[in-house]
Amino acid sequence: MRRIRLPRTRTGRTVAALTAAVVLVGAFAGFAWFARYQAQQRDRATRACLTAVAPASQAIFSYDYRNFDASVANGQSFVTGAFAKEYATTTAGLKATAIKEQAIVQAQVSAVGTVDTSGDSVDVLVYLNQYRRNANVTGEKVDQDRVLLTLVRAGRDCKVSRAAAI
Amino acid sequence: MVSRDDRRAVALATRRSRGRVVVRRSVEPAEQVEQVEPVTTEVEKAHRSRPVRARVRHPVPNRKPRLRKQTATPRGRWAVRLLTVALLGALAAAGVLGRQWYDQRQLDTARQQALAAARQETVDFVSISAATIDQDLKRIADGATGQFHDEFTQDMSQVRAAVVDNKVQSKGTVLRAAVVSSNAHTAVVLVALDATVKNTNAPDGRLSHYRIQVSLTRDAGSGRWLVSQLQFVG
Repeated sequence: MRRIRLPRTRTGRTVAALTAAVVLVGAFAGFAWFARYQAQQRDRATRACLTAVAPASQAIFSYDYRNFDASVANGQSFVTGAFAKEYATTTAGLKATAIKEQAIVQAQVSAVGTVDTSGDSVDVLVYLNQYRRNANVTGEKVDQDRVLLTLVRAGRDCKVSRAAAI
Repeated sequence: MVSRDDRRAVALATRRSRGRVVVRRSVEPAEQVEQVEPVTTEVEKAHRSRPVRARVRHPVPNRKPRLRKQTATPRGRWAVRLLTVALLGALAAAGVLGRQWYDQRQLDTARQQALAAARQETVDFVSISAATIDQDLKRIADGATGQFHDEFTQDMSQVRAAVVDNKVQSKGTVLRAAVVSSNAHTAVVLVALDATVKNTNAPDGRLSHYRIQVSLTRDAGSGRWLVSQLQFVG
């Protein structure tokens, strides 16, 4: 085994000690910076996605039988990934019923909170009110929903990659 | 007779000869004998009848070789100066960044504590039974502060009577909790709960869905997060 050769002079020992101290303190500073950087990135992603929650929720959970395709196209612009296909399938199945019942659904967000943030995805809890009018209902009915949305960064925007009522 | 001049000559010669002797410090540890060249003046020969005395050097103890005392080279001095400056810079950076990291961790911890307190207080709030009503009410009051505490303690006797009269048995479960905003001292949290409520009108139980928003404050004395406001979100 090769032995470590210690510096023999006083200057050599001072240089070695200072180098070790600089490396240790520098490593801690680097770690602290990286942790802070990650937290900032998380906060930035969360803020960006939170601002997208209200318009996305209103677009996805609203429709009007008079311009159903336009409503769906608007909703489609806020979704991504597998959920985009699911949304297309669901709305395609809903179209006939919506026109038949002359259904108008308007969604409004009451409150939004962050459940979890990890990497580029943010889970949010949304208190959503859906105001429903159709041929079978006198006046307007309100559904008070609790919806869990997962939003992911898609370029400069945040889009909904999953939605579930709880 | 030896004259004074002769003695002086001998002394002088001896001093010179001593000066010529080379003594090496890095000698072998064994005893070493060095022969001093005698001064061969006639006077000395006449004066001495004994053989020339040999100078005996006592053995040098086997010491570790001493580090050579070196004065720092200019390169070494510069290295020390540069490293000192680098260390000071690193310390300053570590201080600032470490403080920011610590503050961030404190915020994260506060956020988690506020979330936990909100979950506990709201589940306590919807979990009340006639059989344990006094404990249940006390538990809710213990987790409350400010406006919510005042309102709740004011209405406590009415709540107690209603629960006992209707034989209420309610058990709640938190589905999700989410932070609206938080800092080191206050937080606003959403809690989505379900509760199964049994009473005289619904002995088999009825599932209730709740959308609750609570405001929390960190108690300066105990450090506990307490609910200062609780509302059902419409």
